[in-house]
Amino acid sequence: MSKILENQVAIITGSTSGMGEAIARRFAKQGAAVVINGTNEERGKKIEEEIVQEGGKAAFYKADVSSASEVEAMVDFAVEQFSKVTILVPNAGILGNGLATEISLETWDKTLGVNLNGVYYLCRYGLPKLIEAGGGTVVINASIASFKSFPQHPAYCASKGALIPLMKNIAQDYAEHNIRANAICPGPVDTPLIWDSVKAFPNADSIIDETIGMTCVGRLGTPDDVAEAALFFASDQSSFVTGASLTIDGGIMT
Amino acid sequence: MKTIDLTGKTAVVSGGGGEIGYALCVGLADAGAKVVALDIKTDRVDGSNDRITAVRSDLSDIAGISSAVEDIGEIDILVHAAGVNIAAPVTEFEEQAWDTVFDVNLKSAFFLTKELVPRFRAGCTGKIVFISSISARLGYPGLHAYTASKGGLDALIRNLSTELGAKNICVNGIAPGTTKTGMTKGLWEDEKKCSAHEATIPMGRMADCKDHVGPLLFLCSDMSDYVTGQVVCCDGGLTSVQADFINLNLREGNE
Repeated sequence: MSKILENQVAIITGSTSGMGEAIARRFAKQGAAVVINGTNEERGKKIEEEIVQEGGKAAFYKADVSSASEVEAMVDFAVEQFSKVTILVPNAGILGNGLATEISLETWDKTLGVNLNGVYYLCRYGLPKLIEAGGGTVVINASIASFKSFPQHPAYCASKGALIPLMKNIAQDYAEHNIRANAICPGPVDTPLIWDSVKAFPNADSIIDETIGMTCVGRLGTPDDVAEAALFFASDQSSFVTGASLTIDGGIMT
Repeated sequence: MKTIDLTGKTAVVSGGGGEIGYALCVGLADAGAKVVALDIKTDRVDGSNDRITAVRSDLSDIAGISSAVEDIGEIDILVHAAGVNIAAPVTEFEEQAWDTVFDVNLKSAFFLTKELVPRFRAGCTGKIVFISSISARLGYPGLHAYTASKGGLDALIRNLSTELGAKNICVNGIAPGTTKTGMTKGLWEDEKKCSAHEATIPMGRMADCKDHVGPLLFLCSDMSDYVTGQVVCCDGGLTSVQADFINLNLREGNE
């Protein structure tokens, strides 16, 4: 069976664990060269090696996505390594939990810096490369928090909410360059982040079980569930879909 | 592009004899599925493809639906693509027209689901996909019954997903944007109207029936096992900009 991301080059931020890692591995299996990004160098190098051992193309780049200059350097690195960039997956995210009146201003700034500015920076520096390549796709990893609140997640929800109109703007303005932009919006997915997230809930001990009961399909999502949706949006399978957001949440938002 | 393999799956497609419906049947068949196309007119399907079988059925007749699906054994996929449009100004809209549109577009979706849920094969995730429309979200003068029926489909998708998850069936939808078919001929045959309409679509063109195949295969495959109750707009970005500044005359009667 032919690989559907053959000749594509993807940058996936925050891909040293969780959903980002699953997306990087899935894209590499489908033929894309992937830039793995995070701040954990050891973990990133290990994923790079494993992908290469399996016959894929991968390169780790250590960068803090809340730094515009580091993101710009990462995009240049991707071009140096793989000669072009065609897929952007801004995925890195942090929680910054606490009551709106109690989190520090630093926490607010840091959360918005990673979750919103980090996405913007990758688009800011990555989109010109997509244009140079003749087109491409942007798959923003948002969240169901783009549409609903969670207790003590003010910075997280605000930052994720902002990603949907940002995505729609990119879809509108860059369609003429043969670039599509869409958002995936995961619900409860079994990643390291979710176990930190539940600590902010008043019913932290039981919330995961209760959440499973709130899904239509009776389980937590897996990082692979999210990677499959990312693959759909990154590939020609969704060639007439742009400006769309899709929740991958087992039906919580119904 | 071929990544999705539906070999061994059986799909029922209502409205499979229509333009979008038939394109979806071919997409499923090309991915390896065995397809049963239900439609009142089956000439497009008959003898066209070894993997597609036509069953003549009037989807506005609920009793007829039962008998049409009688001989279909176990299934994995149900696609409801049957749809009709009757447009008229609100003061001239006939009750019969309203009923016809609702019977075919919405009522048959529910009763097909009711009839076929017990036939879904055990052991793998079943997939139901309703073909809705972006007109569930954007208004069009004259299309009162059509848009309301499609809005009803979106609500039904959400509602069925809450109950059928326990039966291991995901329920989702695709909302096509303006697609070049006989139904929209009045729009795309008029060069001026067509180019004005296309100027409002970020991707700069109307959809072709085949554009909806990729999203359908995604929603019918195990790639989307954690996606339920959702509608994917396949519209070149039209709803994301909410068709801003579109002249209402361009919408009239031409969803």
